Amino acid sequence: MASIKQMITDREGDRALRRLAAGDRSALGNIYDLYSRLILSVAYTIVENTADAEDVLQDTMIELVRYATRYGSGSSPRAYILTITRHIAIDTLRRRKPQTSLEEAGDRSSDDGLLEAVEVLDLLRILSEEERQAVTLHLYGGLSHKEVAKTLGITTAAAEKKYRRALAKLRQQYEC
Amino acid sequence: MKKRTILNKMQKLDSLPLPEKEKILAVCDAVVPEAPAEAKARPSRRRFSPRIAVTAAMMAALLLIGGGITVLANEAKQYNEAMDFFEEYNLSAEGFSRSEIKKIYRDIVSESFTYEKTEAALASGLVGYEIQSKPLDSDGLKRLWLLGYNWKTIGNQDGTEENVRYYDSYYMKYGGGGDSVIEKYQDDQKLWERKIEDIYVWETCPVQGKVLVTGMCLAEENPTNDPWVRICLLDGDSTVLWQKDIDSRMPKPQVDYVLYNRDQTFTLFTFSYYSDSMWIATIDMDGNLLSEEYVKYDSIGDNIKKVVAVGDTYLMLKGDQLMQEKDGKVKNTVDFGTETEN
Repeated sequence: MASIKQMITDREGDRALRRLAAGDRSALGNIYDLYSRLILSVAYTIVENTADAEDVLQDTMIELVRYATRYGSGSSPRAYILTITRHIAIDTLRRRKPQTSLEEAGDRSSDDGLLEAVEVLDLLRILSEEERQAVTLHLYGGLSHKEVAKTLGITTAAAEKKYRRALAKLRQQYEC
Repeated sequence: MKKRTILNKMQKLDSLPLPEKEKILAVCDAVVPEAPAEAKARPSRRRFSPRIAVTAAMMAALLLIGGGITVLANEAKQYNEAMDFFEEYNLSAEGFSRSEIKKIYRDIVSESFTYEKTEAALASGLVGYEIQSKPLDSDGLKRLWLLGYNWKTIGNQDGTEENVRYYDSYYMKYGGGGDSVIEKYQDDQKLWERKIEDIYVWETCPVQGKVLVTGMCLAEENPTNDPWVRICLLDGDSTVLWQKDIDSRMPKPQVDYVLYNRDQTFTLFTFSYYSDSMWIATIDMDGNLLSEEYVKYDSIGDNIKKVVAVGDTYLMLKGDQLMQEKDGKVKNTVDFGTETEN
């Protein structure tokens, strides 16, 4: 559910994606300014390490340029971008070699930003993959349940159900 | 754990370091170079055949049907977005048609506030609406919306411990000054009490299982005879983690409200009946003063019930008056469009 700030961002995002589709490459910089933080964070919750998350961010930006004309004006720019992000992140997971290390709270303890982000992974660890994505995309990413459903390839009712179940699990886990 | 708390925790993702923008864009340019402008193709001069005519007619029919379906799908999408918005901001959709709900939604998100039914929808959930003393025009509605919606989204401190209350009692000492006893209750069960010497408690602020206690020292041995603001942080088991004094440079300061910020700092809103200023001071979790400012403030009247930070300004609920700290003053914002200066 979008806040006013998200709506303003998405208005700007829609304009930038349309400019990109029309061949204005400078719009990519605007898109980066508006959505890079969101792309990186959502990617991180899927791939669970910063190096891969940065690769996902890079590949998402490349995909946006390569297939710029696919964006339909009037669509949700946020949902469009995060759908691409999610697909690339899942592909990254599938291609990952078994010995790739995931970040734990003990790593790079001097990096406070990373430490805080790892705490989020710890929070979400009790959820299934789809529950985690439902919570991340809706609560953090600002997508509606319908947009989450489209991104995950499930019905809106299923997306809502996963989200509510995820919240219930988190509440139960952290109220002990 | 409240949904808001879960979101606050997830927003720690915002602390992930971003890669350099220029590097990312440079790779995009290298991988997908900009295409040169293509020459326009010459139109072919094919003859128009009956088979093409039939196919074109069928495609036109399909487009019309498809277009109708698209229109319906778009309408449903807009309506769902509008309903999500109503739910998010606790606005009642009761009594409004589908069309009206969508119009209200568009009116608010576009920040126009010109649709005749918008005010009725906002009246159901907009904090601060109930205390308006006169009808609001478009501009007034907009300003109240932009200021007031934060009340619901920011909430009450960090909410990590539900149903927790702190009480303080003051015991005067023979010869001057006094001590305070802080008690912690959860669900009406007393968990602990702790005596803190030489402090008259003004406000407590519970966060992350701890509690910040603010007050002043009334002991006569205070060198300036004007008490400083005394602050201490108590752990979850009542251990005093630290205690400090900060000079507000105000006579007999009273901490009226303590705001816990997302970056784990506290902002103290302190006034004095002997001064026309308010001292707004931000400290970190170790009690170190990070910043301070003085704003014009009329201390007469009710205490501050709540403060929220909105961008680079503060909204305060003083009794039933909604006020805003702006340009070095705390102004009464009850009547939008006709601000009354204190």
